Formats: sequence, structure tokens, C-alpha cells
Amino acid sequence: MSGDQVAVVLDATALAAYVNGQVAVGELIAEVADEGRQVAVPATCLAAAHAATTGDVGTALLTLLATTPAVTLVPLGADPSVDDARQTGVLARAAGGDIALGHAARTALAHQAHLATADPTAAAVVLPTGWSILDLSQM
Amino acid sequence: MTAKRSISVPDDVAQWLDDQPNVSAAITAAVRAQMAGTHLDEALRRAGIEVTEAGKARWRERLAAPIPPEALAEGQRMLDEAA
Repeated sequence: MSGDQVAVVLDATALAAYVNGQVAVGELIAEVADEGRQVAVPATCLAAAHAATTGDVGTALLTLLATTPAVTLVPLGADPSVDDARQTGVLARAAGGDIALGHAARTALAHQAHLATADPTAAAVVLPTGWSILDLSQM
Repeated sequence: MTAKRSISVPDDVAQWLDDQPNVSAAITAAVRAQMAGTHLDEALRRAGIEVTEAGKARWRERLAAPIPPEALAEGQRMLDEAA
């Protein structure tokens, strides 16, 4: 891992798993928090999760999670000195233009962090061979 | 902004505080840790998630496994190329 505190990045499918009450993703977040480290949520993944959820409960849950101190919301294009928007777009090409997945991959690469997802096949396409993908699909 | 508070604590806590170089900072850090845990517990509970120690232990092992150096190098190359 790099020297920063981000241990895990949650993509949009991992956020959907949280909304659906999947225990494994909750235990992952709790473990990272217990270790005094951070879970990163790319803003585009949060937006995609909001778009995919229906009803006020899912929206409220996502808002609650995103404001948890153990969670760091990662913006896109907010810092002119960082080429994150371009990197996200280039990485997203391999995922058929899925900007949220490109942003999740960019965040994982930049922080040298694990990527948690319920769609490991898609994640593997945008990450280097051998990168750590925490598979939530079998839980 | 800061605010002053007068509090009463048990003897053992008072002793520990007496050993801290900055009592205000020590109390702030302890309270913030408590606040963070409470907030996360609430976020998980409202989603219907009951965390178990066994479940966290499984992730602890996975999180401790380092990303291979070749993958880290390839990741940096990908970021550099895309910049």
C-alpha cells in the first residue's frame, strides 16, 4: 500500500451491495475503520449508485454512508493540477466508457488501494493483472 | 473555533490525562474516534447489516496482502500514459 490512509475503494456495485444490506461489504468497511484507515468512494460511483437505487431509503443510506468519517469522497476534476478527469476517461475506455468504473480504477491506482466490487470481471478489465480486487459477488 | 467545557472524569482517566502533553487534543481525539464509530455503526445498522468479528477477520487477512510490485508498476505506467 502507499503511504496514504486509503485502504479500499468501493465502486458503484459495492455501494449497491451496501444499499441491499450485504453483510460482507459492511464488514469490510468496519474492518478498514477499525484499522484507522479510510474507504474511498469516487463521486461518480456514488452518483451511479444513486441513479441505480429506487426510493428514498436507498438514497438516504448512500448519503449516510458517504458522510461517515471512515469514508472519503473522491471528487473528479476539482484540482486543476491533477489530471484525474483525463485519466478516468482513458481508463474507462477499456470498460466501454463506464466513467464510474474508470474513476474507481483511477482512485485505486492513485492510492495503491484494493478495489471492492460485485463485478470483478469488469474491474479486472480496467486494472493491471494481479491487482487486488475484493470480490463481493460470492458473498 | 473551540469551546470550553468543564467535565468530571474518574480517577484513572484523570491520571491518564495528566500524562498527556496536550489534554484538549487527547480528549478531542478520543471523542472523535467515538463519534466516528457511532456514525458508522448507524450507517451499517440502518442498512440491516450486522457485522461479525469473524467477517472482519476474513477481510483483515485480505487487506494485509500487499498488491504485487509488478501490478503497482503497471498501474503507475497506466496513470502516466493517461495523464
